[in-house]
Amino acid sequence: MIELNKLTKKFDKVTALDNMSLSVSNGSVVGLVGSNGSGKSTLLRILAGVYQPNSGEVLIDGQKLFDNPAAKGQCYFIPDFPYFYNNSTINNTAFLYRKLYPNWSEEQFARFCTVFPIDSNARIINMSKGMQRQAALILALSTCPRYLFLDEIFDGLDPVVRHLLKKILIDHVAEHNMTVIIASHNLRELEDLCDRICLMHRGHMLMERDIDSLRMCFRKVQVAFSQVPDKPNIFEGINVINVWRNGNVFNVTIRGTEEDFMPQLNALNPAYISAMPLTLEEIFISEMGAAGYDINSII
Amino acid sequence: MTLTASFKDKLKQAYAVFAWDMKSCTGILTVYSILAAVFTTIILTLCIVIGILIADSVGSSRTEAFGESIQFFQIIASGMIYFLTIIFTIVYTVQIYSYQHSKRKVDLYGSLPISRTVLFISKSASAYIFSLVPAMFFLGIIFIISICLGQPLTNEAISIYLKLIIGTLACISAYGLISVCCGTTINSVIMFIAVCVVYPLSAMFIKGVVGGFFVGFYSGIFKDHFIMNALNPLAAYDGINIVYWLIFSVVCIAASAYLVKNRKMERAQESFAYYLPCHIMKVLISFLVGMFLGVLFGSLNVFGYGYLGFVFGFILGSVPAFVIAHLIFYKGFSKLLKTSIPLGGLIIVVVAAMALINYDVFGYNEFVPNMDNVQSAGFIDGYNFYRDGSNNLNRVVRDASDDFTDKEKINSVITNHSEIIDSTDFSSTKKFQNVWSEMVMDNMPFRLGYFDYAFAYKLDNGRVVTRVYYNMQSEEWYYNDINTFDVVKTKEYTQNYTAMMKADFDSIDEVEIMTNSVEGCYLSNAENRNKDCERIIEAFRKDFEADKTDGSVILAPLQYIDYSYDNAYYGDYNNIDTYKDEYPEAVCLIEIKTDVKNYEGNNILDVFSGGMYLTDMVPKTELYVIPESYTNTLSVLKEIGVLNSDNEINENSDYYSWTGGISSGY
Repeated sequence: MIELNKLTKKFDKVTALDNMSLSVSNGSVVGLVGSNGSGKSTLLRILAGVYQPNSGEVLIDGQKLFDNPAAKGQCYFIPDFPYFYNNSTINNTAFLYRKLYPNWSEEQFARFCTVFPIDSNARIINMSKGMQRQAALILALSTCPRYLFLDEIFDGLDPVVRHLLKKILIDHVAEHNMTVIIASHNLRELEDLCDRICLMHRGHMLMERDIDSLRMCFRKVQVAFSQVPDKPNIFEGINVINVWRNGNVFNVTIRGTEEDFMPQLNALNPAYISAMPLTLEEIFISEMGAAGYDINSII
Repeated sequence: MTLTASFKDKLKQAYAVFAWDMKSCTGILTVYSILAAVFTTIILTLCIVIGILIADSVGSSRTEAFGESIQFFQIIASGMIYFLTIIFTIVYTVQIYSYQHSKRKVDLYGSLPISRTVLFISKSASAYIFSLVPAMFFLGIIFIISICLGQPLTNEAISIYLKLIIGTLACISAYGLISVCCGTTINSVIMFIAVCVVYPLSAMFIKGVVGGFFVGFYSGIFKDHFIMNALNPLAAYDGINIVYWLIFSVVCIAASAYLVKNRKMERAQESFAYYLPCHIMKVLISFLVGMFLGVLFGSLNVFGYGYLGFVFGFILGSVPAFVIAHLIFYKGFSKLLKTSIPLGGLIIVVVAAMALINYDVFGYNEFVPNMDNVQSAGFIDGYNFYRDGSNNLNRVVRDASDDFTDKEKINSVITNHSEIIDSTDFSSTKKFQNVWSEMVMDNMPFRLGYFDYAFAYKLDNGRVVTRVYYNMQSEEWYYNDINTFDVVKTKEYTQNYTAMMKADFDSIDEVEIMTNSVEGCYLSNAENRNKDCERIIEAFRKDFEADKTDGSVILAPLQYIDYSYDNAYYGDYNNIDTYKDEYPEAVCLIEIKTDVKNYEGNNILDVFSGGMYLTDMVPKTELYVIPESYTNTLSVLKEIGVLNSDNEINENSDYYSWTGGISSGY
């Protein structure tokens, strides 16, 4: 289990993480989403033991993580730009990892070397971005980590490999009870993979939910009126996140389920009404807009 | 529950990192090995071929030439390995420690399940081993080749082992500490170079100021002193001050291991992770440039007074140097004002300290003890001074304070001292001019020479006061008017400071017996150690010990000076008649020449650490008047056939030579 208690990380005057708390249970796949500079990568680096927080603590299975080789041996971090030496190959990098990671599995290593379509004796530095990520994944999964931290892992992967990766991760989680935390802007992929989503903005956790309940909590509703009610606030009493009007047709994003808002909408005598769940991307945009981070505020 | 790694686990982790580094350094190691092997082969071939060619051309034995060639090979090849290793050590070290300076490498190493301290120490161990083991291997090969070819190992070649080990330890440890404190590799390299150059130069300025402003202070005590290169790890390659460099290395590694544990990894690619070394370097750089311009302006007498020129020059140099150093290290002007407080402190401290010593607030320069307060005194005339193997002039001068207890002689010493003070230029400008020479001069193996004088007093309170003056400090360039004969001619002086009395027999190269300027007997002691030389010197010493008079045997130095400057006395010094008026019993003259070297060099790295070499002007020749009372000496001279029964030069002696009379050690 991963526990973050009131974690704060500052880079000189910039506060990257501000008093953040989070608890991640074993065997879950958590997606970190958020605006650029929201602190996702910083959070992953703290989780991986690369950075030391200014205050607060990170506990992995009850152990402090920073500079604790035993705890770090259970974790693996693939950064957004993994580093490889000029002469590194998958095979000679494995030489280092098999001595450092206590759970290193030769069997898994051999398996993943065949699963991912890359040459384990080729220089990694000469490979494409996607292949370098695959190389990093082979090494990561061979260490059999209990906690895997991935930063923008889908970047550069072709659809087949993305699919393969998702499948491998899901299998691994199921088989080994592995916990995965993925930071990504690719919400579509996260939607398939994650069972929880954390939404971050400017170092704060805006929201942290199960993906299913998240989907259930938001509705995109289209309401058409033959005669628009003559009220200053038509949707008063409904938890509306944003409204977009086109003549007599309103597109409304509402926090809540049909049971919460349908009676009130029906009371407005709409000519047409339809409600459907939001995609993760739509939820993201809505929530970020509510936090003051939308296109209008940027432009 | 907190799991901790056992020592065995840590060793395993450290070994994994070491092995991994070895893989990543394979390319550089291969280049080193190829270069070392090729150069060794080339040097061996050239030494043998050239040695034999020379032997053939001069007609000497090929076997002997071969032996010498192998010794040359040993020294040259070892030297080549020495320099090659220094270069590659720098390359390995920069590469190995760069793991802290790139954000991507930080992600890799920071997330590995190994403690930061173990990681750093294993990286350091990699740097030591990659530097030393290949060097030791190739030096071993060179020694094995030499031994197989029948030649013993030379001291020069063996000492390279030690120098490499100490130098490598110190340089890698120092760079390790610097790299922990810096955020980028380029800053680490700049910082390392800066500390290796700026510190010793700054130390030289401090030494120069001490020597230049405290006239009479023997700054030779700084020679080879660790403080001159305390922060310059390259100086460890000289192989001196070994204990200091070992402590330095341990302290650097321990400090690094402590700092690396809490180092903010996010500082990678920023200027610094810890700013203290940066502040120290900026102050050192400002000090150095400020001192350079300050001393320059002071010695050029701008504004008509040395000190004013110094203050102007110091501020003019230190402030821009500080700003430029800041720009280089911080990559901009950020935090310039905030970090300028040390510069202000530096300017105030230096200007105030220089004012104190410029105005001689402590009265050091013109101090001559009162006769009533002196228990005993000593004096050394640099021209008439044989060094008996001791390099520590400071100790020799301090010991001289026991030489004379007689009030009259003490008075002579004090009189001479007062005359020196009177003829010394204590002006501010002159002091600043002295700084330049004082910065470099003590690299001479021995300081005293022409017109250089040392005084030592033991005061009633037990305190020993010493002063050493050399000719460049005088107003007239030389202390010409000082008559030192009253002291030099004394028995005590001859006993303590002459080659005739102090030198080993092996150190005396030549003995010549003369009665006039055109003929004499010449005994060479240079090869096959002439027993007759020993007998003459032994007999002289015996007579000297038995002689109860004071000044019956004299040194005759003035004639040499006149000879050197080609004046009217030319040619008279080696004629016994010259001395007959003063010494009616004079029978003959004995002149000895010693093997004191004119030049003594150390290591090329001294250029960085201490300055340039100057010629040692210690006199090599002494001349003695032998009176009739020196019966042992005269009878030995007769026994070996140098003198005949009439106490004249024996023309039939094997040692007889018609010399034209000029015999000089110069």
